[in-house]
Amino acid sequence: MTHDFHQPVFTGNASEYFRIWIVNTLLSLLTFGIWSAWATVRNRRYLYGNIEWAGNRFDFCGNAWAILRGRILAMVFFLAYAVGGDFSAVVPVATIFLLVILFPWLLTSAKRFRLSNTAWRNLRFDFPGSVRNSYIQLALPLFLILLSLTCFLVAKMRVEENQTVMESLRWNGFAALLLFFVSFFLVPVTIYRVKNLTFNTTCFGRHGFSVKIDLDRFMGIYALTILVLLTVMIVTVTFFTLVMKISGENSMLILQALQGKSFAALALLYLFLTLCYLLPYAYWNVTTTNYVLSATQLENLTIEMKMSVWVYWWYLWTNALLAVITLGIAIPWTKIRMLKYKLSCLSIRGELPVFYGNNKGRKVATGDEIGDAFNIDFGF
Amino acid sequence: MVVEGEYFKPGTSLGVPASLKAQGHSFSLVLANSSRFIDLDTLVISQRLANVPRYLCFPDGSMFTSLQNEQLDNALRSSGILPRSTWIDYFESGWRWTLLALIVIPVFLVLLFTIGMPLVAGHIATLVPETVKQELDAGAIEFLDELVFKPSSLTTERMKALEERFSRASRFYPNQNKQVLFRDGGAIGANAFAFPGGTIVFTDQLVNLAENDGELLAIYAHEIGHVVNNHSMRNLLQSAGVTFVLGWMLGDLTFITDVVLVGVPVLLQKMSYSRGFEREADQFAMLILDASGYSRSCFADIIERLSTQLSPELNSETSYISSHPAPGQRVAMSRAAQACSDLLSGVDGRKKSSDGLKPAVRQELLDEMEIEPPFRPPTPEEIEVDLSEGDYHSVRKVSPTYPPAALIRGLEGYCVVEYTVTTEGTVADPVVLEDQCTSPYFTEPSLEAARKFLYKPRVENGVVKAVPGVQNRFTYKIVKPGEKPINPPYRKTE
Repeated sequence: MTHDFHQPVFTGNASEYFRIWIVNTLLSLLTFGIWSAWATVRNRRYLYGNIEWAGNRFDFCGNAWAILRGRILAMVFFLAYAVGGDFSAVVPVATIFLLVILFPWLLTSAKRFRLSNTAWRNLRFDFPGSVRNSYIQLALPLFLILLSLTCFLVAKMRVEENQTVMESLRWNGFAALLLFFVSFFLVPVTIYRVKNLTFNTTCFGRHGFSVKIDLDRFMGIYALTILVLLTVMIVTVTFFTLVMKISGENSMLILQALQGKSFAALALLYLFLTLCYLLPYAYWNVTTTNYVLSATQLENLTIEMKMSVWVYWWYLWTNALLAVITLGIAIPWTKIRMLKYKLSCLSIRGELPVFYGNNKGRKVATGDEIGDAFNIDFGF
Repeated sequence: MVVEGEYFKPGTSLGVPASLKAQGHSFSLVLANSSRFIDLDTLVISQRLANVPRYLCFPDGSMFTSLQNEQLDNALRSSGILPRSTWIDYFESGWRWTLLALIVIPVFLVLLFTIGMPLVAGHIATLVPETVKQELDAGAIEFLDELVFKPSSLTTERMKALEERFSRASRFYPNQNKQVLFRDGGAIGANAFAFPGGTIVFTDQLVNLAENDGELLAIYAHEIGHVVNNHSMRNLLQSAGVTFVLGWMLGDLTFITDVVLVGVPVLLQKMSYSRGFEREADQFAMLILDASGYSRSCFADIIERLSTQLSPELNSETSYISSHPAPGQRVAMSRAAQACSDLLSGVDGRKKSSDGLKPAVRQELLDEMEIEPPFRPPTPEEIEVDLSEGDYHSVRKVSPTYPPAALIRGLEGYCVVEYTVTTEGTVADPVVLEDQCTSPYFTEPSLEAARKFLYKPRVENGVVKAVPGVQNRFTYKIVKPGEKPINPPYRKTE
């Protein structure tokens, strides 16, 4: 019955998923985006429903209306940030402040929605943490982020009173650098706290997950990511400078690409830069995911995640390239490809215990009753 | 009928093999050594989705799950309960709907981006107030002055002369801010810029590149075409719109597909919108050149000269992703029989050039826009003034020029002009009655036409008298192909 080693596997296939994906995409377009929430439910149900672990499938049973609410909210923020910036200087800044202030609430409701709607066998996952607790846990780093943002803005206004555009640009560059170094400490601390909070609050049935991660390791990973990013920047800049110097013809090509005048040049440049800048992203993602998941425990089960940065990076950019070349038709296939890779790197060890819930059954878990209004999906 | 599956007691992950037996309308769950009757009314059954297992949830919190979707559906159908939402499963499982989606999605997106989005953006762009646009201008120019431009080295006389030439063309769009600025372009070189609020910047390099003022007028007209058509605002709104639509409608994108699949189409769309705007501005330039009596070749000449300044690759017609149409196309579109330096005297020359307009539209434009030589009021010696006893009456009426800016927008309306009929029978002090003029576009052409009117003056008891307060209504109506033109085109209300 019980084994020491449990490998999750994906049982679906791309052609089946393709049909689901494309029909729902069409419906989303024809309904001007309304159906996209239901499409998300169908897509997610297919993907979750084909992940088999220890003989049983996972299930997503989320309500599409909650997803629709979350998407409307996300779009309001996006519009305020993207379009508001063209007409007013205050709106995008206010949007960022609001997002930082609302972050613990958004995080809690999103996690609660996602987890309490994920089931395996007759039990659901859950996120019983309160919004209050999330605010307490994240107060310090978020307060520091707001403080540094405010300092930045006040100083900017002070300086900007009598200065030329050039001076203000130079000052902006300096301030951005400063902000970068502040974020050097704040970003990993915030992410560390978020991971700690979410993984330690997550439950399966009445069994809580526990994670043991330390801040030093996170700072280390973050520092290395910055190092990778800087290396990539130096390499690309050097590369372009060299090309420019070697021949005038090629430099013309790059200039055209930058101005969007030549399709081939632009495509090549885009590909090259994507390749380069996906590397730090892949490094950060893989290293933190490996670290956090491998430090997670559920009862006597230990999790091991062993993704490789290079393989993940290879999957990332080949997937993107395929999606572009096929004009998006390959997206379902690339999604499954990535999911299969991730699952193949995940193994769970330990004797499988019998899990118990709160005697309420699968379809009436806690999440649904805690005010439907807070149930939003914000895509964290 | 039997459906094999697994049964879970309430609140536990421990499953036991079980089967569902359907006999007519009665369902029962059979376990290893027991069996229970199922009340179908209280059962919650998950929707069918491809091969994903189904869940039958009982009110006590226990659950039966099965991978045998087909058997389960048959059993439920036979008992009269059809599972919810079968229609979506029906669409998802057939290949012909997949094929339909593969055809409809691109068509829908193309229609949305080529017709829907520009239409909506065009409407919203007109809602942006003039003051906001002019503030945008001021900000942008301050920024460019600081970073790129240097003060112009042109002489004041040269600037004045150009401004005057431009202002003659600007009577066709009276309600726009028409500030023209000259700057040393620095690294930018020969170029001209139109800002949303109507400010137009010429670089010294461009002014020096042009061989005659007609060429500069062509550029000016092109830039004004951007302003009149609200291109900057529309571009801004359309770019945001594409991102919004792709993000919102397609949704659920991961980081990478987000960047690539939204980023790239947005960029391509932006470029193609930009080319569309350039073409629109080019057409506007043609109209202005025609209306101000210059050959369209002026435009061809300057574009040709500008494009030889750029590298040859940029001239290739194949470059798909470009912010401007290929120079070759633009030159071919505007090349006319007359050289730029010849001021046109009649309509004939213009008919030879092809401008990418539909033949019917072009014919309309040509019919409506008669070019007339600069007008001066005729002296009494030139015409024989009828000084016989009687009230004044009209001797000659002239049609106004249809303002191109109104024409390409399909704007119709009227304008009432009030003036004095002098003792010589000419028109003096014409003014437009603001509340009886539907658009500022019609002000200038109406006044101009009114000045050309001739009357038999009023003679009372042998005394010639001037008559103040005479009104004439100029009606602007675009004649559709096949429709009978109004002849005489303009009604008088005296």
